[in-house]
Amino acid sequence: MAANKPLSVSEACWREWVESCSIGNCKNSQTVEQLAAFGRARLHVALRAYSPETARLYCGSDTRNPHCAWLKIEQYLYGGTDGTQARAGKAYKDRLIEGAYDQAHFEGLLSLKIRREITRWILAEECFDISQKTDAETGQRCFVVTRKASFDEEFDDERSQLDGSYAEPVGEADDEEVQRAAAYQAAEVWKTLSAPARTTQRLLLVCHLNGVFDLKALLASGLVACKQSQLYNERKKVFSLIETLDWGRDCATPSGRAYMTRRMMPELKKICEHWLAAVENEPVRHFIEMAGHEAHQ
Amino acid sequence: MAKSTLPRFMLSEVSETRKRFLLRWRLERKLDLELREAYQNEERALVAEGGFTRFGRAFRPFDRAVCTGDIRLLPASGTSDENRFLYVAVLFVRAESFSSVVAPFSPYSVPACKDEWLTGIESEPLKVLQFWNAQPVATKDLARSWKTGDLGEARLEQARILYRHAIGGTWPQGGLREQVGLAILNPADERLAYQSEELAHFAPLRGQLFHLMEQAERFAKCSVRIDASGAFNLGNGAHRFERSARLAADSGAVTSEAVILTSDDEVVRLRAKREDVDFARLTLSWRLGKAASVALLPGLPACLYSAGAKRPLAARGVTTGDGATVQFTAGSGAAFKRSLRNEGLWIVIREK
Repeated sequence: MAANKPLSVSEACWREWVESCSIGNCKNSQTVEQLAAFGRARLHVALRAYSPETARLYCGSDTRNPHCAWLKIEQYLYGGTDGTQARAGKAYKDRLIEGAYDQAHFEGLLSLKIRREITRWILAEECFDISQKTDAETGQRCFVVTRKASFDEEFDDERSQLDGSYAEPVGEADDEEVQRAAAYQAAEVWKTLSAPARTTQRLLLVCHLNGVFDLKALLASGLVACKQSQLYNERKKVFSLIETLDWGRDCATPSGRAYMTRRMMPELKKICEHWLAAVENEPVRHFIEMAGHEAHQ
Repeated sequence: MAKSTLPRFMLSEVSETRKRFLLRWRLERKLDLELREAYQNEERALVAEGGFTRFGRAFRPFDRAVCTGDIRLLPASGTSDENRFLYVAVLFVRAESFSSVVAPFSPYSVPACKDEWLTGIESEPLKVLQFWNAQPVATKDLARSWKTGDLGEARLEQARILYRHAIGGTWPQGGLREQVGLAILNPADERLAYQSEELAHFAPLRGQLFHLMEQAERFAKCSVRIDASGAFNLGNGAHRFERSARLAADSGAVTSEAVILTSDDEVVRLRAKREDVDFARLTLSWRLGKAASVALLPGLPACLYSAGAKRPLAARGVTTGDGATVQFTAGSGAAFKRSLRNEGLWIVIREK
């Protein structure tokens, strides 16, 4: 069979593999050969598309262990907790059988696992990065594969993007205080915007919190009486007010301020919803519902 | 603004280790999306046509006894994507609601967000638990899965702590904080798309749980009458069971008639033996005898009826353990007293 159809596995061989613990425990040499060829062929094709060198490493004819590709497959699929490759952890074999309606489907499911998941796992382990580009001449999309010397190299490249982006409360008590501070500042912001001279700014904030960003629609609604350029200026002032809030001396870093602003927004939304529920604010509520509905269409 | 009344708090920058989680996650996600796109035609071709017959080979039977701490692999019917091998950890088994709370394992090797945890388990599919995606599923559905391992006591305890933090939106402290990912703070964060994909995998099980709870409510309200001859009438005469001839007493055990309404619309009769009684909690458990044609699952609704009352329903219960033990809780002291009678008792279990 192997001579004519080198990449297929007979049902008897699959049965032996399912019943044995792993390829290493299969007594029949035909089973071992067929499984090794099955895994090698599929993994090779998938890896070669991204990295011929990695494909050779795991699936090449000069690889020291000819079962290397299949062992990698078994290693990835194993779902046990004891690290001893116990039978319970190999329920993936039962799942493959249960999910398949015939042998071809069974092999298809396994092939897809190899090409999609096991290839991803190996490429990630080998620090490959993929980015999509569009060819300027043909307009066709293609992917560009780059390999980092190590994950740390990549980490160094991208860490600047994360620095200052993430701050967190130190302890449990801080978490509660953060919540109280966010609620306090939200109330302060609302109080500031409740001054008669700032009613347009308050309206802009209400729109923003409810996902309505179309200033032309706001102008057309008749809820404000000013020019469009003035409306943009007013919106800038709202954002500036929020961005320059004083969160105290222990929260001076940009990441800390950004974190607190994000924690405050849901509190502001709560105040805003309460305000919108008042009878006298019905025209604003109606406008937001309409504008929000149109934006979603 | 008056700064003096602003509550004081301390914020800290996140550690390098946790920043690495996010960078690594982004790398894996990018590769995943690329490979998914590359093989999407192959995936479509694998969708089973209607009327197919399953691959003839037998698979290992499901591990029916569901316990907290179990790590289980769900069958293809347990997820909306048959290509996804969905592993879950059982955090709680709640007999009273026929359900168990499970947390699924992530397809990636590092935590994506605050409510994902690097478990420390080496096996690739079990590296990260998703607490944000933890949810109740029907225990009977969970019993139709394979147990692949166990979280172990210490890890289960940690998992439950992190689950509580996920529910409460609070932060774990100390070492545990270093094993979770970074919070999602931006509504445009790519991790939200991942979360919505992952959430969708549970759609079939969620639907089945709602159906079961609805059925259990209806089941308890089902009309029942036990007549003077001891015959049991269920569902306005839909089923009538004559009282079987009394068996020879065996060492004073209390027995009851039992009826199983199977998922194939068949009725199986057998006997049950009372095992434990807890007077403080008004609970009692019964062990069902063997019925060759039925292999019961845990988490099935059951009712205990007692003759001699206008409303025969004495206690509601659920199958537990391997499915052959039924745990009942009486609704009142009087109902409990009736469920302790030595004869005229009927147990009904509904499989669907």
